[in-house]
Amino acid sequence: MKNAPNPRIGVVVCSCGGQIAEKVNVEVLAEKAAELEGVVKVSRVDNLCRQDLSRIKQDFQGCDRLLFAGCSERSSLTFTEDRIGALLSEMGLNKAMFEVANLREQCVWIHDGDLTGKALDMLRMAHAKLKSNLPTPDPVKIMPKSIVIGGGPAGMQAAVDLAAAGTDVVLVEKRAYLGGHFCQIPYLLQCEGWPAMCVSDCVAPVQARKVAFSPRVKILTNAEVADIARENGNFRVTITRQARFVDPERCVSCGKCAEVCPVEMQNEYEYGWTKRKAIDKEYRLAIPDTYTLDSGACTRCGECLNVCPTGAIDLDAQPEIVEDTFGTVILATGFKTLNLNTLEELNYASPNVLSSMEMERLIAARLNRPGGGEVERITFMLCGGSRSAGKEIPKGMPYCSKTCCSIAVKQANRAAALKPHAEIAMIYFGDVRTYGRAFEQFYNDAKDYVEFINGEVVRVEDADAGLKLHLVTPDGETEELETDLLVLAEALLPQGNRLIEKLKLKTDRYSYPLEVQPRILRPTESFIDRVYIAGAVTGPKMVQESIEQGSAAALRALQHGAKGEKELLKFVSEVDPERCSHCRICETVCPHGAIRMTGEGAAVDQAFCQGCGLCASACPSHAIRLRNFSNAQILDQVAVAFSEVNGDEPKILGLLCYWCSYASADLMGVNGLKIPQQNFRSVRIRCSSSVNAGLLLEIFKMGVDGIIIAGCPPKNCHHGSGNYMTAKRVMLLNTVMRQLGLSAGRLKWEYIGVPMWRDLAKAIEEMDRTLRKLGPNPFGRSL
Amino acid sequence: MSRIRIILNWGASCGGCDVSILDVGRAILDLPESVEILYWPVALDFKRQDLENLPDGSVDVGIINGAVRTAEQEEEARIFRTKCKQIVAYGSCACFGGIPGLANQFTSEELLQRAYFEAPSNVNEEGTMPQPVSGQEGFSLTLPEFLPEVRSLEQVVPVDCYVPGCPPSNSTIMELLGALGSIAAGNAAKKVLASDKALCYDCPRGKTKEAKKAATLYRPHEIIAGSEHCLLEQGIVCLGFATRGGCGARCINVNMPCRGCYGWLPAMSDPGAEAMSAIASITGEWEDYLQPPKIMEVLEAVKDAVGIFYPFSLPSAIINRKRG
Ligand SMILES: Cc1cc2nc3c(=O)[nH]c(=O)nc-3n(C[C@H](O)[C@H](O)[C@H](O)COP(=O)(O)OP(=O)(O)OC[C@H]3O[C@@H](n4cnc5c(N)ncnc54)[C@H](O)[C@@H]3O)c2cc1C
Ligand code: SF4
Ligand code: SF4
Ligand code: SF4
Ligand code: SF4
Repeated sequence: MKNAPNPRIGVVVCSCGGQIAEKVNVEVLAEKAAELEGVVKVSRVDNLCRQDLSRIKQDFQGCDRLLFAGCSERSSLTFTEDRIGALLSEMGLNKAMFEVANLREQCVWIHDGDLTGKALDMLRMAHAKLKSNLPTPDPVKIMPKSIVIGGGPAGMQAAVDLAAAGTDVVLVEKRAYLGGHFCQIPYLLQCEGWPAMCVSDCVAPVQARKVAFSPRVKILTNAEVADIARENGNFRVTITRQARFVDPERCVSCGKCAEVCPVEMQNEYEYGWTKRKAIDKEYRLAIPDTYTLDSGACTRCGECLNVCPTGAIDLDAQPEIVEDTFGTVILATGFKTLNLNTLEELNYASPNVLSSMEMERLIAARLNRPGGGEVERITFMLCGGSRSAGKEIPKGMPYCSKTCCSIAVKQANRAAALKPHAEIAMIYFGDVRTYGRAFEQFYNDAKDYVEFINGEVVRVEDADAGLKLHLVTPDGETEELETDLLVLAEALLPQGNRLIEKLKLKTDRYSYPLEVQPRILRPTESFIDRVYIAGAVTGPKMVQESIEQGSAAALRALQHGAKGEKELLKFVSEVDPERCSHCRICETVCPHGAIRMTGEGAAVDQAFCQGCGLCASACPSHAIRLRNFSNAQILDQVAVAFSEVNGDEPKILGLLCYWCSYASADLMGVNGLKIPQQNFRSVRIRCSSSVNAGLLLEIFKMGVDGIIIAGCPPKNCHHGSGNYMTAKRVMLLNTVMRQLGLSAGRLKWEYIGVPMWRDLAKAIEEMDRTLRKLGPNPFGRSL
Repeated sequence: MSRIRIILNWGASCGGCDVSILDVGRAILDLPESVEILYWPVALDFKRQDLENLPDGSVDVGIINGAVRTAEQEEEARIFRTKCKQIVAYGSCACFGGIPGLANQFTSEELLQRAYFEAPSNVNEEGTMPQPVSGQEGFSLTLPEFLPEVRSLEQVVPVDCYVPGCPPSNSTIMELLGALGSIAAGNAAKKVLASDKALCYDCPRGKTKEAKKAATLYRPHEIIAGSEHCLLEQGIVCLGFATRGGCGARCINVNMPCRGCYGWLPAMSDPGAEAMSAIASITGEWEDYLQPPKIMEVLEAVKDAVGIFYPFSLPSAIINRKRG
C-alpha cells in the first residue's frame, strides 16, 4: 500500500482530567509528537470527551488524519471509534484516517510509576500505523429493493413491514399460496403470555391479505430461487416460476373447473387426508385467491377450458424466469419436520401413526378420519427425534425442538374438546417443557384430562384394534399401552438448505443458519452482510416469535435499503490479480462470503467484506491485502513499540483481537488491576486470525522476545472460526519451535473473552517470567 | 561465436542433480557446441587443482548443486565465486538447503553421535569419530570440517540465478540451458527459473477445487487419493498452494502431493509458516460446536511439522536451526 504523498497528521493529547497527566508527562509527549514525521499540529486537551468538539474541528483544519492519545477507542464509555468516525466525517475527513494511542485503559490504568516512556512508545505505534492509513473506498450502491424468500408468517411480516416503509419487495413462495405452516394449523396458541388460541382461518388470511394489498410487494407464488449470487455489492437473483395455467387476474375461484376435472390427486395442504383435482384450490382461504393447476397431474384433457366462465385457463402457459437485483435478502424459508421413517421403532408406516402436522389437519377435520377408523384413544409422544443425544443424526437430533410440548398439549386440548370421552395419554421424555406462562397453564389444565406418562417408546406394533406401544419407564420397567392413534411430536429442522448453501451462510451442524457475533445484539443478521434470517428457519418458533423476527429483519434491511448505499468499512480486503494463484484458499476461509473466483482470480466484493483479514492472512501468494491492516503496518508498529524498553527487559507483544481480547486488556485497567509489566505492548488486530504464522516469525525476527496472541473464547469468534484457526496455527508453530529446540513458551495462544482480564494479566505475567528465564530471543535482531 | 565457459560442482546433495543434467537426453550431445566445460568432478575427470588453476573471473557461469555442510563445500563455493562471473544455484539443496537441510533440527554433535554411536546399524566398538585432523604413525590426515549447520548456497556466496527442483524438472533444465547465454551476459530474464505463482495455478487439478475445507487430514499412506480432485481438498497436505509452479505438477500427475521442492512463493515471509497457517485454516470439522481439544485433533496427522512444512527449506527459514 502506498502512503499518501504527504500525510498531514494532527495529534490530540488528552490528559483525561489529569488521570493520564498524573503518570505521563504530557508536555514531553506533545513535544515528541510534534517531531514525528508528518505531524503538523499537536493540541493538548483536558477532557476531550466532555468538550465541545468545535475547537478540535477548528484546530485541525488542514490535517488529513488525526491521532488521539487518550482513552480506549474500544472500551471508552465516552469517546469510542464510532464517535471519532463521526467527528472525522463532520470535519470532512475520511473516517478511516485516525488511530488511537490507548494511554488510559492500557497504560496509566494498569501500571504504576512514571509511564512517559511507555506512553511515548504507544504514541509512536499509533503514528507508525496512521501514517500509512488509506481512506475507505467510495460507498457501494445498494439496490433499494428486498427479496423475501418464503411466504410463511415470518416472510409475510418482513414483506409488509418493508413495503410499509417504502421499500419494493419481491416475495418468493414455492407453494401456490401464502401462509406457510401457519395457515395449516387450525388452532394456534397465541403467545407464551396469554393462554388462548387464534384460529388460522381468521388470522392467516388477515396477514396474507396485507401482503396482497401492498402495492410495493410483488408476490411470486409457485416460484423458487434458482440462483442467488453476489454481484457488485448486491444480490443477483434468478427466480423460476412455474407456468401460470390459471390467470389469477381473471380467476374468480368459482370452482367450476375442479368440478369437471377428471384427475384426482392428494391434497398436500391437508397432508393427504383429502383429495383435490389437478386444477383446484388447495384450501378455500388461500391467497392469492385463485385456482391453480398441477402440471404433472393434468392430462391436458381440456374439460376445464370449457367451463371456466372468465376464460382464465391457458393450458399452454410456460414457466417463467425472473431475474432481478436486490440490495437485501430475507430468508424465511421456515421449518421442515423430521423424516419419521428414519425412526423405525415408531412404525410411522402404519396409518395409525401420525406426524404432528398431520394431526393438525385431522383436528381441522374434527378428528374424522376419511377412511373411518376409531379415534377414541389418542396417545401423544413428545420428543420424536428431538433430544436424542447419542443417536446418529438425522435419526435423532440432540436439541430440543422447543415448541412441540406446548403444541402437543394444545392438540390434546383440541382433541378433548372434540371428543370429551376420548382417552388421551401423553408420553414424555423426562420432562414436559411447556415454557412461559400460557403454555404451562395449558399443561396444568390438561392434567385433568390427559394421562402423562414418563417413558420412552421403544416399539410400536400394529394391534387388532389400533396400536400397541412398548414403553420403558425411567426405572427401567417395561409397559404396554394400547391406543387407536399415536401422534408424534417430531423434531423440526430448517427448510431451504439449498439456498442456505448457495448463500454460503454459516450454519450449525444441523444446517440451521447462524447469526453473526455478537448474536445477542444482532438477531436475524446472518454471517453474510444484508442477508437476514427470520422465523423458523433459525430454529423452532411460535408464530408470534416468527413474526417478531420478520419485523426485526425488515427494520435491519431497511436501514440499507433506505440509504441506497453501503458505506465500506475502514478495513476491507483487496486482491492483486497479478499475484493470485487461484488456489481458492481465501474463498474457503472467508466467513462472510465476500470472495468468489473469477477467470482472473479471486475477487472480493467489498460491500460484503467485514474486514476480518482471514483471507489475507491465509493467502500464501500474498495476493490479498487488508486495507489499513497490512503486514507492513503491523511491522511498522512493532519496529517502534519497544523504543523505550531497557535493553535487557524482555519485549512482550500482545496481539489482541479486535473485540474480545483487546477489550479484555482494557478491562484490566477499568477494573483497577495493576500489572508491573511495563514491557508489554499490545496491537489491536482485526481477528486473532488476521495475523499468520509467517508474520509472527517476522515479528520474532525483529527482536520481540515473546508474543501472546489472543482471540475470542470458543464459539464466540466474530468471524466464525478465526480463533480456532489461530489456535491451530500456533500449535503447529509451537511444534516447529520445539522441534528446533526453542521453548514454545515464547509464543502463546490464549482464548481471552472480555471478562477474562485476570487471565490475560496472568498470561502476561507468566510470559514475562518465562522470558526472563529464557533470555533474549536467539533468532531476533535487537529492536 | 565463442562457447560459454562453465564449471559445475556438487555440495551436500544426493547426486540426483548431476544425474538430472545427464538425463536431458539428446540435448546433452549438443551441449559441447555451445558450452565448454572446464570443471565437473562428478561427471568428468577433474581435480581440485584444475579448478584452482582457472584465472579469477575467467569462467562465465558456475553451476553448483547441493547445500553447504562442510568446510570444503564452503571453500569450493567461494572459489567458484572468484572464478565465475555468474553463479547458478542448481536444485533445491543449493537454492534453499534442501533435504540435507533437515539436519538443522539437530546440532552437529547430536548428528555425529547418532551416526557413529546410536544408529541401530552401527558397530563402533573402538568409538571412532571422524576428526578434522587425525594422525597415525607420523601421518597427518585431514577431513573437511563438519560445520555446525547446513546452509543454502546464497547463505555462503552471492547467487545470481536459482534453478529450483528436487531435482529440477527436464523442462526447467532445458530452460536453464537455453538461458545460459543470457545468464552469462548477466541479462537473464528471470532470476528464478520457476513461476512466480503457486503450483495450483498450473495444476491440472486446479479447476476441480471447490473451496471446501477438508474435514480430516490424511498422511499420504492413509488414503488412496482420488486421481481427479485437488489433493488438498481430499485432506492431503499438498503444498502446491504455497510452492512456485514450474515443475509441471509432476508429483500431482502421479497422484502424490506437492512437497514444495520448487520453493516458497516470492512474497512469503517464511518458507513454511504460511503454508502452515493456510493448512490450519482450511482443515478440520464442525468447528463451531466442538470444544478446542477436539478441534486440534485434525492436526494429529501432522507427525513431523518441520518435515511437512520445511522439507526443502529449513536452512532458509526464519528459525532455521537448532541452537546447541
Ligand atoms: C404441529 C405444529 C403446530 C404448531 N402450532 C402452533 C401454534 O399453535 N401456535 C404457534 O404460534 N405456532 C405453532 N406452530 C409453529 C408455527 O408453525 C411456526 O412458528 C411458523 O409456521 C413459522 O413461520 P415461518 O414463516 O418461519 O415458516 P413456515 O410457516 O414454515 O413458512 C415457510 C414458507 O417458506 C416457503 N419456502 C420454503 N422453502 C422455500 C424456498 N426454497 N423457496 C420459496 N419458498 C420456500 C414454504 O413453502 C413456506 O410457505 C406449530 C408448528 C407445528 C409443527
Ligand atoms: S488465497 Fe490468494 S492466491 Fe489463493 S485464490 Fe485467494 S487471492 Fe488467489
Ligand atoms: S477480510 Fe474477511 S470478510 Fe473480507 S474478504 Fe477477507 S475473509 Fe472475507
Ligand atoms: S493443492 Fe495440490 S492438487 Fe490441489 S490444485 Fe494445488 S497443486 Fe493441485
Ligand atoms: S509438485 Fe511440488 S514437490 Fe513435486 S516437483 Fe513440483 S514443486 Fe516439487
